[in-house]
Amino acid sequence: MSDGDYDYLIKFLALGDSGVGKTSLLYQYTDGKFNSKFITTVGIDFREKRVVYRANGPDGISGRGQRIHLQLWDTAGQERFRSLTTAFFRDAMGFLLLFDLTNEQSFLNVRNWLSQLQTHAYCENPDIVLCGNKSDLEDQRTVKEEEAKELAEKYGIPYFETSAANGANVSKAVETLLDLIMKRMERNLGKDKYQQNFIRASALH
Amino acid sequence: MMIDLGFLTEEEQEAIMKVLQRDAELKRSEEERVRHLPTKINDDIQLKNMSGQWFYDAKSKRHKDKIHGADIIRASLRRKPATMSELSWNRSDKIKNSWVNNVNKEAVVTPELFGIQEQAEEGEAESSLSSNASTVTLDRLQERSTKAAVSPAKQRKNPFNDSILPDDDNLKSRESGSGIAGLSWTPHEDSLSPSKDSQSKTKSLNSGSEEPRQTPTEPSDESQKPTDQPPVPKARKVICKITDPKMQKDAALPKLAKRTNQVNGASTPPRGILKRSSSSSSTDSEVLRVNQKLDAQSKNGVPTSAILEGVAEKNSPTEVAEDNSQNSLEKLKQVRFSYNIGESEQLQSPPLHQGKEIREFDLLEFDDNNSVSNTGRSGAPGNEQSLAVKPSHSSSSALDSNVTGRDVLQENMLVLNSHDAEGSSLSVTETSQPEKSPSVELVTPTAFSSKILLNNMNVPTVDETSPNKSKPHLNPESELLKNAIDQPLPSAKTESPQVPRADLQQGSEEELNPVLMALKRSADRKMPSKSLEDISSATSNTGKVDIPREELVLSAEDVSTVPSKPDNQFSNPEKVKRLSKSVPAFLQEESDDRETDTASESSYSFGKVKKSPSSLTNLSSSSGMASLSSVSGSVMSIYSGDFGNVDVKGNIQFAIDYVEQLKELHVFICQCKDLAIADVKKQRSDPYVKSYLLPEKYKMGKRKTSVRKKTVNPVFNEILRYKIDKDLLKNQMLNLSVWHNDTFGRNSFLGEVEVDLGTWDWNDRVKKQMSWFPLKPRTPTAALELENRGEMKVALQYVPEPAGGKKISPTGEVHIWVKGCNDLPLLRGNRLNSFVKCTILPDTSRKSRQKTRSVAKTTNPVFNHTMVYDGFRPEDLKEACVELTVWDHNKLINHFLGGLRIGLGTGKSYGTEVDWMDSTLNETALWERMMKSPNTWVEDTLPLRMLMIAKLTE
Repeated sequence: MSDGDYDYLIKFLALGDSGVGKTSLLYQYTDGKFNSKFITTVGIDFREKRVVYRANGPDGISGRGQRIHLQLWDTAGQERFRSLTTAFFRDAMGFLLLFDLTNEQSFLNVRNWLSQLQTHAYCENPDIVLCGNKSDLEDQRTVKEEEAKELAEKYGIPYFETSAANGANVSKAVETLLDLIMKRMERNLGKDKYQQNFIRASALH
Repeated sequence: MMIDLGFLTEEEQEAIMKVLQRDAELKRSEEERVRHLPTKINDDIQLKNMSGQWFYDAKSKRHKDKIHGADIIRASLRRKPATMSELSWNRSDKIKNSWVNNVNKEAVVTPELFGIQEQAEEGEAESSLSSNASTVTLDRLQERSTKAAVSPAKQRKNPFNDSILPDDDNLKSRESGSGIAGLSWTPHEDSLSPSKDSQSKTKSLNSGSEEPRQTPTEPSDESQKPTDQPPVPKARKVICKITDPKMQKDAALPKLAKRTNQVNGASTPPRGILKRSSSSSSTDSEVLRVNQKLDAQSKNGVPTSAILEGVAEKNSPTEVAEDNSQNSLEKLKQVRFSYNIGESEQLQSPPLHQGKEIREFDLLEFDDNNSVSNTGRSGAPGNEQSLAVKPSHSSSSALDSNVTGRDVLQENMLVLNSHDAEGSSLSVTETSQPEKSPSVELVTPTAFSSKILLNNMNVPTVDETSPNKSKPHLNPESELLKNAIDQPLPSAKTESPQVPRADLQQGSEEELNPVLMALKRSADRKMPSKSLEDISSATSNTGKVDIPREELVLSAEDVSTVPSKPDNQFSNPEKVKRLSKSVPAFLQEESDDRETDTASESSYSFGKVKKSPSSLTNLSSSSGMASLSSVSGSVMSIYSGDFGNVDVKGNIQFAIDYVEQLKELHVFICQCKDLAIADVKKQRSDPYVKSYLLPEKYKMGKRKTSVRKKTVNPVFNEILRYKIDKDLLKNQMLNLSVWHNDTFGRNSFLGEVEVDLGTWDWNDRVKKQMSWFPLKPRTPTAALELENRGEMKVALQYVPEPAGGKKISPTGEVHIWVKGCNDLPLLRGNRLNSFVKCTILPDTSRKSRQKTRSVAKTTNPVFNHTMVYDGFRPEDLKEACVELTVWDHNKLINHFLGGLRIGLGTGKSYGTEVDWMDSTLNETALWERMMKSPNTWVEDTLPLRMLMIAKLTE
């Protein structure tokens, strides 16, 4: 799968309570399939997908596509694997934080997950996308969209209501995260360039 | 960074390893890609982005290391004993790339670790052997360094090198805990290619050694393993100590060098996992330290190393030349010494003191040699082989070296104890373990003795020339002959006399059921580290036979601090039981360490917590036997305790001398009379003497004599030595304590004596003579008295109906906002890396534990970490207690700094009297404020205190 024929290796990690649909969402994203059977993830796993990212330039013209190799880490939501899964937090560039729209507790635990991320991620403010999953089960929903949005806003992270079952917003969520990462890199670029320029300028004087 | 993965089943581990394998493959290709990037991309920044360097830079900034989570896990998994399936799995891996190789290497390492651990156990129990164990590790480390020197390190162009390629490196470094890892790595890689084997044997040897070193970190994990897999442990006891004169010269120098390296490495901050992993591996770092100490002691050998590596710190070049001779001499001396002991114990005569070569010392050296050789061997075979080794058998490493074939290794694994032609190799590996007890070293099961000889033979050969290694193994007999010829007789002598003993001592223990043994081992393993600091995790072992099952479980899982008696003594199992019931009980693991370990609080004991009747979450305490070992402890620390409740009586006879020429303090432990009976049931005591220089300012660690079985009038005639400047002794107390060595690690304190060395008249002839001192009950350790533990700023909030509003139950949440601490005490010089752990009592389940990140380099850490606990009914608030404990996170070990118990302090919880409901007025006040004003943050800055035990007493 990974023959090195790509421009960027981007590593994401999905986290959230057990049973919220992390594995299913990733499966839906990478394979476009859904299996309603609940198979608990053993510790960790990952899936891969190759995508092309086109940044929208300021002028609306997209540049050359960047070939992205996505490594999507899937983590066990179960508490018993926690020490193991958190060890992987540090290796992800971005995070898909999932909760189950039909499970209030999983939503309440989002805060805890965020705090875990803050502790273990590669930096203090990593890029995160919040996903309220199982949006297809509208009749069982216990988490209101407003609540979730409010929370997401509070933390300044994008929020999507996704459905691994029907694929709603799944790609969008991942792509949004990818966009955040690419933007972050661009910022790095800009910053560095700025610094370089600055240095050159000062050298001239 | 090690993680306790003891809870994983074999299948799970396998599944995870497969994932890691895939990840490794991806990393490899990524690495390949990145290597070529520079040719395509000119823009540095663009390059940084495309290579992912931006990410790794950020990550390393934050985490101070570049370790991949995958590596951590892999390393953690490694430690576990391999099952057959794993082994086979490993094989398949071998085929894979260098990365894989690394993996293999790690596996190789494990065996040694085992050895170390075992040694450690025995060492504590029996004697200062632990030091030996440590030396072994040192040797390994040294070997690494040497290897590094030998083969040029690869150059990695890859920006990731640190992060990606580094996997291997990281692993290694982590494992080793020494900074050396990076260097050592490259050699491995070189050796990796199978084709190179013959050529690179020497290299491989080195590399092999490296691998083993890594293991040290793993101990905690391993400890877990043993429980899972009983078989492994048995094999280890064999030791081959014999060294040929040749060996000494040829190998000895390198070895010595290696040691020094290790030492150095120790001083350098380990990059790797070790650093961070508090839980698992306390051993490494500690081991290193120990080693250093040992080195100092064993200087004789060391000096050479200085030359070789330039480490010179400890050794002076001039000394080098002497080393060899000294070694041999020492051995000889040892022989004598042991001889004396065995035959006539009364040789107490002062002359012994003067002779440097105390049996311990000698043993140490022997061990070193052995270990070195062993490591070398193991390394030699080739990294790939090492994969098979993984399983953790010490023997396996040996096998690797000898056979080169994984198959062999596996066989060994299976056979464990069985000695076949290949068995010799096994024995070799085992040798490393010998460290535990002097007597033990020589012998394992009697059957081994022959093997031992073989081993010895092998060892030398290995060191000398890697290429021929295989041969020697094949023809053990020829080697034996060689040895006989080449070696000084003494070695042989020593072995024989000691052997019997070892058998006796160990034999009984070994006979015990495998599980117990495993536990024990695990405990032992940890021991080495303990000397410096204690590891609670080791404790799990404690509950070996006698302890009620419950306790075992407890210990295995969580460790929570439980109050113990002031004395720290868990008088008897029953009490312990009680404790556990009442709440979190702590089992202590090492009974004897009270002082040893972290100086900080001697009396703490860790235990697992059982569930309490509380309504709070009931998490299954599930852990079964398997988990026992796992305590690894991310969080635990240790409190050592004394399991016994023995009335102190009797006297001890000893003499103290400072040997100016050696700059060593010698404590000649002659004998004890009329000791208390520690094991009332069996009406016996198995005493040994342990020494400390207090306060442990100079981290000299402890020394121990061997254990005398079934006697209240033990005659030791052993010298406990400290390499220390005389000036430094002025403000030191010599603490000699007598302990009953319980088979299952539940040692009992039998009394102690403290001598103020500051007022000691070194020139007084009389004082150099044996004197009798009455044993006294334990005196409070300085650590306990640590008065200012700092304070914690914490805010609490009770949210009766969380916003989310479950419909189900009207339970609320308790939010605990740990803001920060001030004035934390420094237990480790000026280093401090603190974090806060939170548990809601009476629920001590692991699940309910939360902790903050750790903040380094400040006594005033700011955490701003909020923990949320739900399921609180208003009435629960009266019964629960928030236990916040502050820990100093050091590589493998966490030291307890202080804590708070915020609750009503009623002494009861849900109607049951509990020790932990002991909140101070301030703590209670805060809790009450929280209860009175829901949905409001209430805050206070509370003084941290010792959370102990005083109450266990009854």
